[in-house]
Amino acid sequence: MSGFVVSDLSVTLGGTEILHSVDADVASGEWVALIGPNGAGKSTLLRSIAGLCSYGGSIAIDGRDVANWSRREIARRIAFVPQAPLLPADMRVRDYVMLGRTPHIGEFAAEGAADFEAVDRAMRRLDLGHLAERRLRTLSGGEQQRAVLARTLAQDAPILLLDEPTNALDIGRQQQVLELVSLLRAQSELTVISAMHDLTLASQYADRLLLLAQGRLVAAGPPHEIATEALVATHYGANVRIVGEGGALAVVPVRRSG
Amino acid sequence: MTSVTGEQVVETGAVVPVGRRSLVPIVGAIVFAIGAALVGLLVGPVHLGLGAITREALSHVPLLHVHSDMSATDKAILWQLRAPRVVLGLLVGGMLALAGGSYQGVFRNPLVDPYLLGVAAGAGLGATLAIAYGGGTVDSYDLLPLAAFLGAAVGVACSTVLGHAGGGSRNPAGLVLAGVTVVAFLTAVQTFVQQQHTQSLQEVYSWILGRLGTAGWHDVAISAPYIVISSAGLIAYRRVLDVLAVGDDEAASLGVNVRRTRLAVVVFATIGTAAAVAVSGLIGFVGIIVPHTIRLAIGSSYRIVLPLSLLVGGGFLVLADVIARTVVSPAELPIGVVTAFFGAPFFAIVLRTSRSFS
Repeated sequence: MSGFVVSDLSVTLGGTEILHSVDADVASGEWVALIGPNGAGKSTLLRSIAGLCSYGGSIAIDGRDVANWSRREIARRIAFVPQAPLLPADMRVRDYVMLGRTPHIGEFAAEGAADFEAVDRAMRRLDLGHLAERRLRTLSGGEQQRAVLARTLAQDAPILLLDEPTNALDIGRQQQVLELVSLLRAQSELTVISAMHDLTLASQYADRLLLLAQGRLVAAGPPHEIATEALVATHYGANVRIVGEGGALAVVPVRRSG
Repeated sequence: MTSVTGEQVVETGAVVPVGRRSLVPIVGAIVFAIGAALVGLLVGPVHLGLGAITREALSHVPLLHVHSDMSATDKAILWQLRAPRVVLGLLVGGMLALAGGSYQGVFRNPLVDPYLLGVAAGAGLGATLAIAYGGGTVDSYDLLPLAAFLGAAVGVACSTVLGHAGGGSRNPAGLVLAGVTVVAFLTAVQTFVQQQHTQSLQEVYSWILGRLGTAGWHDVAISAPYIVISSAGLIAYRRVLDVLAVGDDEAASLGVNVRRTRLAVVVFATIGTAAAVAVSGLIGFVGIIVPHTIRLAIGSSYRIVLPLSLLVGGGFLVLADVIARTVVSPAELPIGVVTAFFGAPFFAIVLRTSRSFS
């Protein structure tokens, strides 16, 4: 289990300030969803936490500043799934899942028994055992998503960063993926931070929502405090109604005219 | 029957390591390379029997006391003409194929070959300068490999500096474009020098088409150290290249230092290729056809592609050389013509077969 603290985080890319002095505190075992309109800086925040872009300010995992950590050390604590993971078409599922073991295997060493066990376990948990020999391009969209999750599980990192995990999936698959993340999080005591566009799903699955707008953190709190008609209207410019609560909370768009 | 075995594997969820899976192809490739080397030693205008060659080889092994009945002339043909040519073919072919496979991995671009960043153009210019200004032919043959090697190094250094200025390490496409620019410039200079010294055209042209013809142990000795070190370096990176297949960002999030890896692979591949080109000229196609044939036939993991490229590339070039020196015997075809002429249709067949299976 690992929690982390982001303090005064600023990111400038190509002369444009993408994130401005963001402070966030994620408790161990918590599921936090980053929400906010397009271009708010959700992906950049995730990429900074994963150590993939340079930033000002500090990020601390379990009270230790990660600034001087090697890439490998960060990779042992944080698993990152980008919006559209690049799946090498001809790679076999088992070899793809094994890539998750990279931070645990010496740069020029071969994988050991512990690595094979971790891969085996990850594939079993995501019900991929029967697909182990298949090439990634022959899998369905849902199976590919499971292969990606199996890779992150094999990585054995306590913090899981997901950038738009439900992107381009139908409503059933969206639900399946999030249920799966929820289950894995409970079983492996993972801390999850996911950037999400769908406010309904974000509210139903996350413990807390962080609302980013124009590179600033504008609101943070439990879903019923953040997914409100007023905040959504202000930051998304959207006309919505909030219906239900808890696991049935829904953010429903309402047509302005007619 | 095979399906039963397949199901058992599925039920137990047994994970067969990539290393163990690659054992059969590796053994096959070793057999292929040895077979190609034997063909290279056997085939030629003078007939040397397999038995005679084996006895001659064993007679040099201490404590075996095998007696060789080979004549002095035949011994000279075997040890001074054919053997160095076969060894050089194995080294150069293996190096070009391995470097091609590595470049394709590190740039995630299947069409890239080891000449991408100016190795060939730089070596070509260096060789042309050596032939044009190096004085007599006899002298320039010692100068030629050195000039080609330096030219190759300068070519790649220019591409790297230029590509770096264009954000090359973050953006591999910038490096590739820099390579294209440098190749165009160096080729222009080379053509200019060549036109100024038309008497050397024939010699430059024959060098560009590639040959193992003048190969002696000297060529093996000057290129082998670079090729051996580069090959070992590239093979050591085979697992990391598999990680790079998921993209720079994801590879970095898995703990790989992407910039350092790309630089190391480019440096190893370039040094090895430059050494190969320096002694054999510009032999095309090996760096693309061999790695791709292996990908299509065996699998795309670099842990298999790289070691197999080294073995199969070596064997392929030795066989191509046998063809180059037999079809129009006693004259010789440039080996680059053979690799392309036989390689292209073969590749087309592999492409078609693998498509129909998938």
